[in-house]
Amino acid sequence: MATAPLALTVIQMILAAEPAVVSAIHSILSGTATTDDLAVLQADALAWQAIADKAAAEIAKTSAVPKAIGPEPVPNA
Amino acid sequence: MGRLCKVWALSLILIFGVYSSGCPKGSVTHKVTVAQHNFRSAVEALQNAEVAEHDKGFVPDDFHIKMQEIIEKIALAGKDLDNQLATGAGTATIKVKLDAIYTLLDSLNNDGIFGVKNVGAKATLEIALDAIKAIVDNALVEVS
Repeated sequence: MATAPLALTVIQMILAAEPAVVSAIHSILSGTATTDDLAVLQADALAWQAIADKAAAEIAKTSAVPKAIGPEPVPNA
Repeated sequence: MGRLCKVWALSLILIFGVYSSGCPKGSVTHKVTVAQHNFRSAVEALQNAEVAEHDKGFVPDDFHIKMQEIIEKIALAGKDLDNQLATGAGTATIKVKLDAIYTLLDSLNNDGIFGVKNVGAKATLEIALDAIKAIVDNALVEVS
């Protein structure tokens, strides 16, 4: 009577404690990637976003810099 | 108690089975994933190099903005590629994504690096770009 809920609880505890197992299950379901691949891809996606964010920040920072105030450049005589 | 043992045994079998499954390490998806990881590191290196050269005054603001705009597009394309790989996209889809990234890399060269006047800064950025292209080339070979 209590076996099924207990088994479920045990598996849920294992899944909660070990995210790699969740990735592994996803790997099996999709049948396309290893556990390592999925872990790398997840970390990479976050890192790619960080690169995009840094680029956006650089663009905003550079665009916000006011142009140097001074006399118009004199054309070569 | 016997039932509890069975539950644990089943759990251990499940875990072992899960860990020992998956595609072979030599699969196309795995190779592209490895390339993708290296690719991201290389793009990050180029971005850092470009920012450093700009901060030193060797890259004008307009080229800096242009190159960072393209790098932002490459980064979002890289993130998209990660998501495609994770969901088990086929090689044809991956190839289309890689081709689009290659076009962006060409644009980075033609619209950005090519216009940098400082010889040292230009050489640094060209080396970084070549490293990225070599990685994408290898990934393209895997899906062609």
